[in-house]
Amino acid sequence: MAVAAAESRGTFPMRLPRVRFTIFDAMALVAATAFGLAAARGIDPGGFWPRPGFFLRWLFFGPSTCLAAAWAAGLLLLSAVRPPRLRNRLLRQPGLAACVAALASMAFGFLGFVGYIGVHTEPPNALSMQPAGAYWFAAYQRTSEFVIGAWVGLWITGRWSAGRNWVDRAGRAVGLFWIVQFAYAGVGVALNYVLRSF
Amino acid sequence: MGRSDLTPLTRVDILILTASALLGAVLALATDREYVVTHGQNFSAVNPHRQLPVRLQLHRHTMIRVAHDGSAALTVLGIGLTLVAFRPRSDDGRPRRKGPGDVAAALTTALALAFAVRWAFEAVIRPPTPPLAPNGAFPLGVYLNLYGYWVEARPQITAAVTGAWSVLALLGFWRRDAGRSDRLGRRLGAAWFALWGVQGVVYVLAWY
Repeated sequence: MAVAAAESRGTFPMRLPRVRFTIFDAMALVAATAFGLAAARGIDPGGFWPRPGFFLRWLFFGPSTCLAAAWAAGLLLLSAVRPPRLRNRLLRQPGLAACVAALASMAFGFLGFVGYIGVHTEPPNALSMQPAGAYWFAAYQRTSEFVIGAWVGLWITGRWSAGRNWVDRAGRAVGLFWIVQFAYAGVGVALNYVLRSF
Repeated sequence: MGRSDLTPLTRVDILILTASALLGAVLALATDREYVVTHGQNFSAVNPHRQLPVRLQLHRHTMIRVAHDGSAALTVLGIGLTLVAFRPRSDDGRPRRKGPGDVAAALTTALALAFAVRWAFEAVIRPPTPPLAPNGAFPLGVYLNLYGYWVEARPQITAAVTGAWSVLALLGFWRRDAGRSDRLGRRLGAAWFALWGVQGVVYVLAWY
C-alpha cells in the first residue's frame, strides 16, 4: 500500500532489481535499427546518403530521424516486457518520457497531416497525392518541441529523476538527439550559411 | 481544492500581469497593423487565394489575424505569468510546487525567447541583398517581420505545451491547483490550443 502510494507520487523508496542488458535487448535494438534503416530507405531513397556540403543537414534531418523513432519504439517495447513495478519506474524516468513524447508527437503530426490532406481546400491544378517523405516530415516536424516540453515539464514539476540504467540513458540519448536537432534548425542553418560565406 | 485554498496573487503579481496584458495588447495591435498593411495591399492583386469566393477570403484573413494577434498577446502574457510563478517570494521560504500551468507559462517564455534569438541572429547576418536559393526563397527561411515571427513561433510553443501536458498526464504527474498562477497558466495553455483550432479552421477554409 505504502509502495503504491509512493509510486503514485513518483517516488520509489524500494530497491528494485538491476536493469540488465541481455542478449534479447541487443537483438531487439538490432531489429529496431534495421527497421529504422529500412524505413529511411523506403521513405526517401535519394536522401539515404549525404550530398556534398549538406552533411549536418543529413545528420539531423536524414535517416537519423527514422533511426531515432525506431529506437524510441524499441526502448518502449523493451521496457514493456519488464516486470510491472520496474516498468512503471522506467516509464517515469526522463529517458522513456522522451521516447513517449517523441512517439506521441509523431502520432499527432501524422494524423494532423492526414486530416489536413483530407479537409483542406486545394488550389486549382494542385497535386493531392503527397510523397511518403511529406508524411514522415509532418510526423517528426514537432518532435523536438514535444521532447523539450516533456523534459521541461518533468523538471519544473520536480519529477526529473534520471535512472542509473541503460534503458534510461539510451532514452535520454534519443531525447538529446531531438533537442540538438532543434538547436541546429534554430541557429545551425544560419551559422552554416555564415561560415560558407567566408 | 476550492478557489479560496489557492495561493493568492500579491499586488506585485497583479501589477506584472496587468503590465504584460497591456504590452501584449500593444504587440497584438502592431502585428495586426503589419498584417493588414502588407497583406491588405496585395489582397486582390497577387494574393494566391483570389480565386476563392470573397466571403471565404475574408473569413480566412479574419482567422489568420485572430491566430497571429492572439499569439502575440498570449506570448507576452506567458512571460508575465512566468515572472509571477518563478519570482522569488519573501513571505515563506518554502518554494511552491509547480503545476502544469506553470509549465505552460515557462515553455511559452522559453520557446519565444529561443525563437527571438534565431530571429535576431538572422536579422544581423542577413545581407542587404540576400542570395536566393534555387527555389527563389531566401536560404535561411525566417521572415523578418512580426507576422513571420508568429507563423514560426506559435506552432513551436503549442507543440511544446502539448508535449509537456501529454507526458505529465500519461505518466500520472498531472497535479492541478498548485496556485492561482498555475490556474492562469492552464488557461494560457488552453488558449494556445484554441489558436491551434483557429489555424485548423484556416486550413479548412482555404489552402495555406
